[in-house]
Amino acid sequence: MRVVWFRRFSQAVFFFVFLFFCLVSSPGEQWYRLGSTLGPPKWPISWFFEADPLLAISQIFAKGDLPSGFVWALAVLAFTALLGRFFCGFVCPFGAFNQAVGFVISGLRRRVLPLKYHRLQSFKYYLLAFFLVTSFLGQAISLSRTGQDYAVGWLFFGLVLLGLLAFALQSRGSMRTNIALIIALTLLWLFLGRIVQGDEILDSSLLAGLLDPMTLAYRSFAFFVLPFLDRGFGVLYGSPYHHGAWLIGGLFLLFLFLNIVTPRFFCRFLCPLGALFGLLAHYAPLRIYKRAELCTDCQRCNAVCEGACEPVGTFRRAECLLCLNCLAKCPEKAVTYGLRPLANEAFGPTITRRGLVTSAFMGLAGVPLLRLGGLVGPDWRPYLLRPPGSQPEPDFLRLCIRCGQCIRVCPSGVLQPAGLEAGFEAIFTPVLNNRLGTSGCQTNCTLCGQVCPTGAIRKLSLDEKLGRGEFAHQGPVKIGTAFIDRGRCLPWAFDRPCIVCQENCPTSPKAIFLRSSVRKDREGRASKIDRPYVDPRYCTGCGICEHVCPIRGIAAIRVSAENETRSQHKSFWIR
Amino acid sequence: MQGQGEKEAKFGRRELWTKIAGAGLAASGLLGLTLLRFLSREETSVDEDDIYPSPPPKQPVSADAEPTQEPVISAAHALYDYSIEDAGPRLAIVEGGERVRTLRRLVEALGGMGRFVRKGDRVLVKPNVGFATPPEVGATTHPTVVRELVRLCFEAGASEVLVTDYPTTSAEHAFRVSGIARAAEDAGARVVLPDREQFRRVTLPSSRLFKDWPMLVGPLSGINRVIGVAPVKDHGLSGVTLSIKNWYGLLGGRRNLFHQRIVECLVDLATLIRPTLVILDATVSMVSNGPTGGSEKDLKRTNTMIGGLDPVAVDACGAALIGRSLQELPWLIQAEARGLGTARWEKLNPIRDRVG
Repeated sequence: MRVVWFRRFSQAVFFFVFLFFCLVSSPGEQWYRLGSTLGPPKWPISWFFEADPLLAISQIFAKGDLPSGFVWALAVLAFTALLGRFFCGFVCPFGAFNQAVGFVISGLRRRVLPLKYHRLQSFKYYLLAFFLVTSFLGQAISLSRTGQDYAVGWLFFGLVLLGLLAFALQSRGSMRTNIALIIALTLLWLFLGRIVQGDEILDSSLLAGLLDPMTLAYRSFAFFVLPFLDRGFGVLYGSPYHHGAWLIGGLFLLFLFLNIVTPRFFCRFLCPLGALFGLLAHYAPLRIYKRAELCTDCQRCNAVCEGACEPVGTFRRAECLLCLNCLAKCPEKAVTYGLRPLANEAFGPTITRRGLVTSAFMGLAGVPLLRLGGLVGPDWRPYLLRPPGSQPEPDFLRLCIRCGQCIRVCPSGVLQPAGLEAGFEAIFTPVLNNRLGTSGCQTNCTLCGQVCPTGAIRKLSLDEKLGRGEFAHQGPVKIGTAFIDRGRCLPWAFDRPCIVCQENCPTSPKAIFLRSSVRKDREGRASKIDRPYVDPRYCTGCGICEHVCPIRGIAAIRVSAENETRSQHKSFWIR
Repeated sequence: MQGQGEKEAKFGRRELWTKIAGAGLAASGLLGLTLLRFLSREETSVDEDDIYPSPPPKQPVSADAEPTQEPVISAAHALYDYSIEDAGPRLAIVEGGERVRTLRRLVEALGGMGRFVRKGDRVLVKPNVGFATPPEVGATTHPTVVRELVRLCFEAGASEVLVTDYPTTSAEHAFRVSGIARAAEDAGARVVLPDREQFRRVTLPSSRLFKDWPMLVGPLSGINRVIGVAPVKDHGLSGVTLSIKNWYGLLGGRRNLFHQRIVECLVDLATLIRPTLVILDATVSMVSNGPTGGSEKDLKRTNTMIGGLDPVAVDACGAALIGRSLQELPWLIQAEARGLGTARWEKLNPIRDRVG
């Protein structure tokens, strides 16, 4: 019994730490805030992402490199290989949340829920394979060409091969066929790598962030649950609006209510991180086992098993979430956790070679499927404005895990999670939205880059952002350029004085400047009028002008991505 | 899913009643909570319409309903009149490069803070916190001046000092980055952020613009003294931004629209509120690229502070300091014509002094 209470305590602590990190993710000097808008953040808010091996491996696959913070993930991997899925049972905040919801629901129903194993629980392994392949495609091509540049990448590629080999050893098929298949695939890869040119279509894309439980939970709480609970109080959020909130909240509610079908539905059927842990946990020396001589086959453990690993029957090692309910429930103390050599217990889910090949193929086809429409190519969306310091778009999509921390910390709320307007691939990634923000991108702030756990948004110094000091020759970092819509602008279209954009333009000298002219109105009365012009040399695309423009429907001055610093092909200006 | 084997418990009548009773209790609890919140809410607060003011109601909300103080009839029919009438000096100009000492000397020259703040007074200090820029940029009132001013108020016996403004960006962010939140709180003042509850719809009868317009007048309730403190800055549309333009921070809603009639708007602002005292901190002035600045090149050390009881005179004096003539500033001429003050500030025999 005691061990279950320890588990609950641990889950509660990690869940509230997770919520706390979500709450403190806004700039401010108080202890419960992040500190200055120039960073570095006071609290280790990225910890849950950095402890997430799925995000770590996806990054290594996609980029061949890993920020040092992710050393936590390697520790988690090591402990999982030793202890089993302790992360799922004791740490994961989304798992804890789902378990609590499942507990309440089964309590309300006052009956034992079906906690039996379901064969579709193997679906999450296919999802994992899909995500890993999508993040590996571009890297695989460049590895076969310029392998020596990516020591870490090679290391992990070796690990992939080892994993495949281990799977081949375990698989029911003939060993010889499996090994032949692996060798054939490797040769095919090396061969294709020589003749195939990688480009932005045959590229890696870190899609795992869509379903990873850490990022999923962070997005859901930061952009749906907390703003929703904060309504009527207005304590946590200056502005409650988050673009795409319906999608984030909808997914959250879906996973919440799937707990009615079976507790921890997400963990059992969908969680790609859980699948990764499952693969390792299968080989963990420490695990649950049953002392057959004591077991009376009362089935009480099976009824409370959160992962449906069925400790009484063929114990499915990979599915065991280490909830330890079985230990507490067993009247005979027949179920134990401890060191045990690998026995012939079931792996758990049946992962078929056919299923694996199918999902891997889907992964190979996935990125080209998303990119052949040209959204990362010539049909780039002009209003997809990335935060200052963002990597070029293909690199950005290799690194952005869609955690939403940059969005949460943005002091003016101008960063927003993308909905579907920039294509499926950009979903939940950070985009500037000058209608929802309380202002544009703030001049004296580099916080989005400071909190980005993966470097999709680089850590900028203020000097680099503003193009001062040693960065003077580069000029300021540009998000885009403002364009005046003369048919809508009050001075241009209606001879009305206005120039709010010029007033608020934060650069020095102002990127928006004025030219005076004397105009006659239709009655013949002459008046002097100042009209705004944009000087692209100075415009950083911060969007403050667009935000303050009195024309609110379609602003008379709008920022689009032309001239953004991160990509040459969007510029129109010769320096 | 695999629920075929489950036994559904029988749903008895007793259980039904228990459930209905439970649901009823929960619902009434929720209702009670909502009611409590509703009752405790101030009834005049404006809601979402802040952003998009709706057409005026049939019976315009009178802002005089605010029981702030005894209405003082002045020539200008100000809605919010905190001015004092006495024979003391009305304008002072002190040169000095060090803000604390210059400010103290300025207030002394005007007869000491005791002239403006009596024991037990509740004072509102309105700095310019327009932007989220650090003090070095000079786009906001320098925090040192705010801190010292608040201290002076408390030394004169003020019971409470509030500091408020409605910035062009997130208020919390602007107050923090500008250093004004910390400075004000250091000195013991309370920072009032412009939450929705702080806005009321206000109609200024003499104005064409301020009709049923949301304004940041919540912080004025219970206040007897109002002190405006602004930097001296260049401004594209109105030429300069000084103490009168500083009241733009009281405007809520889509105040950007007023840029179409900026002269009228500034004159109306001078009419709307008559402060007890206004101070211009021109230790460093923004002479170009205003009102946001952004570079040291936009700033000039002018080593002066101007204070007075007549905002029109103070602003005219501040404009002269950075070399702007009255002809460039029609709003000052019109304000004088309306009887809101004197733009020919030399006439007031300003007290001049120098520190250090």
